[in-house]
Amino acid sequence: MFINIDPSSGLPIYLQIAQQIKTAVAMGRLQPEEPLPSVRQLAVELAVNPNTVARAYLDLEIEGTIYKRQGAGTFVSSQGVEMSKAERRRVLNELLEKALVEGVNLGLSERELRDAFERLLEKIAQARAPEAVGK
Amino acid sequence: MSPDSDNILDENAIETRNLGRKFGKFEAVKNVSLRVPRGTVFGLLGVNGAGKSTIIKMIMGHLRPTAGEVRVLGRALGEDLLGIRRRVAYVSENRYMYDWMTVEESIRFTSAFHETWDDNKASDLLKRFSLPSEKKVRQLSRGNRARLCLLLALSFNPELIILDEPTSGLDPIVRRDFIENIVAEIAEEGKTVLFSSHIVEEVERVADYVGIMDEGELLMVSTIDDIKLTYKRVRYATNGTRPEVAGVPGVLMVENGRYEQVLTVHGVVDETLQMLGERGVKNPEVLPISLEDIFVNTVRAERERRANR
Repeated sequence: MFINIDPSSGLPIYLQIAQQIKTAVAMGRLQPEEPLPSVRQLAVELAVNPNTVARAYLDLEIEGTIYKRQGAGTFVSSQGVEMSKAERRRVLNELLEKALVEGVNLGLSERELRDAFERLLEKIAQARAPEAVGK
Repeated sequence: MSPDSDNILDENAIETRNLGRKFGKFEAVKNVSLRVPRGTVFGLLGVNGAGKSTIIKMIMGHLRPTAGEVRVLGRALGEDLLGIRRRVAYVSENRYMYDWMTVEESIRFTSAFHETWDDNKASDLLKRFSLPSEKKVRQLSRGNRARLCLLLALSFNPELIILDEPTSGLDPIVRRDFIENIVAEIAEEGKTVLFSSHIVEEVERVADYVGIMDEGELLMVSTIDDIKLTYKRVRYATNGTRPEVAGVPGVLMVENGRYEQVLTVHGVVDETLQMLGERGVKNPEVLPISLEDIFVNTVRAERERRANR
């Protein structure tokens, strides 16, 4: 499992782990019923405190992204994929908010922001049309 | 592992009360009350000379406090120093080792002092560290000497592991070896780790708790997660006039840019934002802050406070 920890990020490490697992599920890099490494394995691999990994797993379990099977380990749950839509929205909202605050601070009007958004969306949609190659 | 009932009741592996140490007139440690809960990893963070080593030496019983007291694994240090030492591992650059012994000899020698010595673990670590068992300790490289020290410390299954600047002066590979093995060790239930470091990244990675020290004083103790969740930066454009921030709750520090102001805020971010709004701040951005920034800001603020006293 590829998880990239940045200890000096302002985000607690357990949240970094939880979010990256959620993103991996949302992107399909982790499939339902796929096993996850044990807390100990992942802790040694990432060189982080096992309590931190345990906390990330607990959060994910409570949210329903993963589940524990007694004696067998931890797995991605099938409802994890459903959940991941909410996760995709969360990521989008976070990015949009940053951009919009920046825009407002630059002194752009609401109208200008909407126009910019529409134009960009159109451009991206065109680029992704089947006949277009690359970006 | 230990049958003593008083230890089981004591939830702190280490507890110091108003601990102090003077060397002549110089106060190396001032009034430090520190608790390290069992099963946690505690990182003591401070610049060189902050007093970290002096505290650790007092906890190990190598140095007598001039004020206050220390309890380790539920016992006052004076009560049962030898009994405690059998259950506590100590890793330090300055730890004494018999230079004239070979690696193998020093492993056998150390094992004789510990009933709980685990031969499998020792030979496992010997292999993992690729230590040359026939070489004399004095011929070892700095990294291998540190690895041997860690091997000797971990192989008797200590309940408490105390590491004084364990990775200072080591290359990144040895450092990673150290951290991974310490992590593996903590993963076994019930072990407690106290380590000192001036490397913020290291503390951030493995510690549950961090204590920030400067000039002999313990300035702050918190869990790393709490720090990251409760300390924030708030940034906004000033649009010509700077708002009055005196009296705004939670503000620790103000940095003025040309067209913006950046506040370091603790705890009550919602109240801070509301008050800023009332004072005319528009669209403030809440940003995360790294432990390094918090460390530097805490130490600086304290030094300023002292200078103005």
